[in-house]
Amino acid sequence: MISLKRVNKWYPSGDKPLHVLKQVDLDIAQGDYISIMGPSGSGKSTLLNMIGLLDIIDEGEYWLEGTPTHLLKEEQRAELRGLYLGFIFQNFQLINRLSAAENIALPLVLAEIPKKERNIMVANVLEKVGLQDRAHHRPGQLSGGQLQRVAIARAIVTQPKVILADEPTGNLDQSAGLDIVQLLESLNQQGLTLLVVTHDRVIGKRATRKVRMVDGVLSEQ
Amino acid sequence: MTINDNIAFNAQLLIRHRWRTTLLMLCVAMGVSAVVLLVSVGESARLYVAREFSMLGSNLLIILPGKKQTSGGGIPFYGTTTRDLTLQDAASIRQLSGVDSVAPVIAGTANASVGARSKNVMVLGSTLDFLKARQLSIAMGASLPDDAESVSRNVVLIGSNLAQELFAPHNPLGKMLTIDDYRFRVAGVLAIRGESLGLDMRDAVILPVKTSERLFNSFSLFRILISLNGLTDEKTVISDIYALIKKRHQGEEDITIVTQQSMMQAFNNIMVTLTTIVGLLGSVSLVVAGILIMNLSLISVQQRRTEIGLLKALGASQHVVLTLFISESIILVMLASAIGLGFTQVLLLLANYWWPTLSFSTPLWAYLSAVCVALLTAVLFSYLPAKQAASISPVEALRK
Amino acid sequence: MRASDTLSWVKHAVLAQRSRNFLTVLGFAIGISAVTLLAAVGDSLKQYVLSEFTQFGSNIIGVTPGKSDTMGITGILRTNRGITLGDAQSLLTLNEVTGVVPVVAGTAEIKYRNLTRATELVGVSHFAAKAWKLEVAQGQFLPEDHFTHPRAFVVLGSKLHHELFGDYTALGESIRIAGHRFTIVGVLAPKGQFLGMDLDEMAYIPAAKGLSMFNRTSLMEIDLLYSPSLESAYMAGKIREHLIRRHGVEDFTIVTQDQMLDTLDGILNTIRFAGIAIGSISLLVGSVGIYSILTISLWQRRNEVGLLRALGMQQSLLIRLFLAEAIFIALMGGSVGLIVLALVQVTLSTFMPQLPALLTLYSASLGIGVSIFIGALAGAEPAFKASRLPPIAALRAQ
Repeated sequence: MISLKRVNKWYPSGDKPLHVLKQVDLDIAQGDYISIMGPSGSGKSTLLNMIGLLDIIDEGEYWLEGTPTHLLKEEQRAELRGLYLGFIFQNFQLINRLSAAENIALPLVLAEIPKKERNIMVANVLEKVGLQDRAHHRPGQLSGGQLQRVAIARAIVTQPKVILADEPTGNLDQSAGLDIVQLLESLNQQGLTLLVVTHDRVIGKRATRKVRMVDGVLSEQ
Repeated sequence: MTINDNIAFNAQLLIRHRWRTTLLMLCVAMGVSAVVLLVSVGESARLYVAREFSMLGSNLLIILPGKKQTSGGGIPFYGTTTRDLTLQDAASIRQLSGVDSVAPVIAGTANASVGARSKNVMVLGSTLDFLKARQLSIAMGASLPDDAESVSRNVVLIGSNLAQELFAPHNPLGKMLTIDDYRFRVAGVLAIRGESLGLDMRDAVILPVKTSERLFNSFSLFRILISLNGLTDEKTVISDIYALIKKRHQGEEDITIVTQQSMMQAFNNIMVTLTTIVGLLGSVSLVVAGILIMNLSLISVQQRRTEIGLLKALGASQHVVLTLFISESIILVMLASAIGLGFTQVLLLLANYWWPTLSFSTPLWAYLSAVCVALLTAVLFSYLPAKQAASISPVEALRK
Repeated sequence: MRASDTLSWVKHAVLAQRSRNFLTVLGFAIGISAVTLLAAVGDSLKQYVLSEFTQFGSNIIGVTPGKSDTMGITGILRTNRGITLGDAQSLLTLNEVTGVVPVVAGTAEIKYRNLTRATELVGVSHFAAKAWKLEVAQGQFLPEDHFTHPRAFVVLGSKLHHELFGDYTALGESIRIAGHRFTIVGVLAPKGQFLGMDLDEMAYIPAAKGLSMFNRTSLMEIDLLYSPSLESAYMAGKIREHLIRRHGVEDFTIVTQDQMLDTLDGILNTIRFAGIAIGSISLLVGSVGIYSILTISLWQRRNEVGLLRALGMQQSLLIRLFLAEAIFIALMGGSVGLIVLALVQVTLSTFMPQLPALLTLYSASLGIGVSIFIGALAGAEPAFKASRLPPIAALRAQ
């Protein structure tokens, strides 16, 4: 489903650009559960951003569902993002002035889905993450764990194929973090491909495939 | 905090937040510049006219033929009456105490020609006293003869433009000029003074008043200009003149007397009102600039919570923080005002270069009030943000 | 994004930052108020002045003695080459001319029994009633007499009549003007003021009588009426031709109503423009307010921008959303400004009914239009800048 071939990326930095991804090869099938670990600065977040189409590769190929994304323009990449990908960030990235339900509905609004249908889909997904009674609360009124669950609900409301989670438990305490990971895993069991970047060994070990990034080089454990 | 430290602290702040500083300064500078420019133009215009008026002497009365008893008041616009105001009337007024000189004026239009060249001109018949009263001087040749009021001599004075148009390249002095079928000799050319309160003398012809009676076949005077010697109260002289004319005109008081002062006063009032209105309108922009200052300051205070908390933790009192924030606005506004004032001066300088007659300048009170208003704006609109800043607790310094 | 969602989004976004947007709206509102107020006042002034001048009808051409004087003031000065009653009479022979009013005016004392009144006396012809739209309240206007040998009739303005006769109908009575007897044939309906001259205090006599009374041979002006279907320029040409034939030279000035209105228009437009320019300074500062607040807001909402991009929002939609926010703020400001003006107008007009309109339909639509335009302009740069932020950079902001 996802195929990276000989991917290279550089970041401009002073005189000499940093080579952050070196000849990365990675194939991901539908339903895979992959953890990406490594020391800070190793390029794991960069890798995730590339796969998430938030950034462009400099060299190599990135095939997503048969589409050569490395040849696409930003508009087309945006479209693919909305279609196939769901994101989960360390700092949740929720809009504070909107309620939980409104935050979750955002991808649907972008897809121009009418209000009635939206409400149904949002309600469904709120149930899945167990926050039905928090639908109209604002982010300021929710705990860290609840916030991440809202983020997850938003990520899955468009029924994407892949979920990309960048340090999903980074801002949570241990038990809340565990809850989140378990929720993500249950989604994976229902068929969603799950990619998790984490520095937490315990969480990283739970994945079925483990990938390690060291100094821009990918190796699978 | 000492003033120097205050300034130093705020200076680096303003430099650090260049974008915000530039925008705010631009707005304040625009507002100040606009207000000062408008007020300057208004004042310069007023002073120009006041100067023109004062050059005509302050003890001047103008007699117009005709009287209106209508509710609107006002001066008799047409100046035509059933009974002529004559040279004899003027002569008798001369006898009144308090009167220094009397200049009777007959005004008309005629065709002036020299050979093939001709031009339609304004013709004024008067005396030496008129030239004196209107501050007209001779550039070339001689002035009107002394007996302009009694003897009809065929001599004229012509305006500078007329001399150019009808006689160039020759010298007009001594040459003959035809006005409406009558021949005259050019005795002198008027100095270039251009306009004097609406009368463009460059295209005018001045002859002895007695001659103009013959030229226009009429004894009817257009105006009588009277200058007073100050020995008698102005009001008394005015009522004396009314009484005299009434007696001479068989009981009809068919003249209107206007004092130079009252005309000038009326004009002055109009100009002051106009300038004030226009100035106030311009000042509205400073209010809007003040609102922007308040808005951006409030945001800035929010953004600098940690920094302010730190200041407090280091021992700054509420008062110090308040002063600091208000002085930041004051410094900004003062700098912006300076720029605005400078810009206005540049504009006025350019204006003077192109239109030197009006001699634009900014009165001192305008500078001072502009600066004061700007300062007031700064203090008023930064008070709320400053108060907010002052109430931030030191604990904020600990927040991430 | 669907329209209803867009509106909802924009509304939410603007209301979320209530205090700063309130101030922005306030500043902009003041600017719009200033500009529309001055535009409306300029309009009202123009209307007032133009209506004052056109109250005399529009198919009029004025001829004055001497050359090049658009306002016809030279008529007052003495001249040897004037325009005569003969000229006026002869102009009647032109087919296109439907009325001729020879004019001479001045002040004179009017006596009735032991009452005297010094007032403005105007020498005209019977055509003056039609030409200057003079309404007769009692009796009739001057009759159609020969220009050069008219009967000694007089028509009084309403106020003048009242002062001399009170409520008594004075038709047929004699009054003395400068020693000559005149019979009253009519009294005019009240007409009001024109350029500070009280029209109701005037007395109208035949021009020939006026000329002899004021010791003049030349009229001050001849007003001509012509058929409405003709062009003023054409008429002016015909009249010029005719008078040159009589005078031999062009020692007169012809001014059409159009020319005079054009000159007036020019002056009034300049004043109006100047007023709007002064108001625009406030508007400019208000616009800078929108620009700066939007720039700051978008900078602070960087991660929101990044999120939206991550979710798949196109750059063009992003730009439109932020532009819409700017326009929304500007429109709110514009509306507030206009509403305040309307309220002020309503309250003030209870005390001062002669107040000129502070808000006209034209100035209001100008205000709304300008608001939208400036909103778009001020919001353009911040919106574009925000949309060009790379998504990850935006997301990384805290």
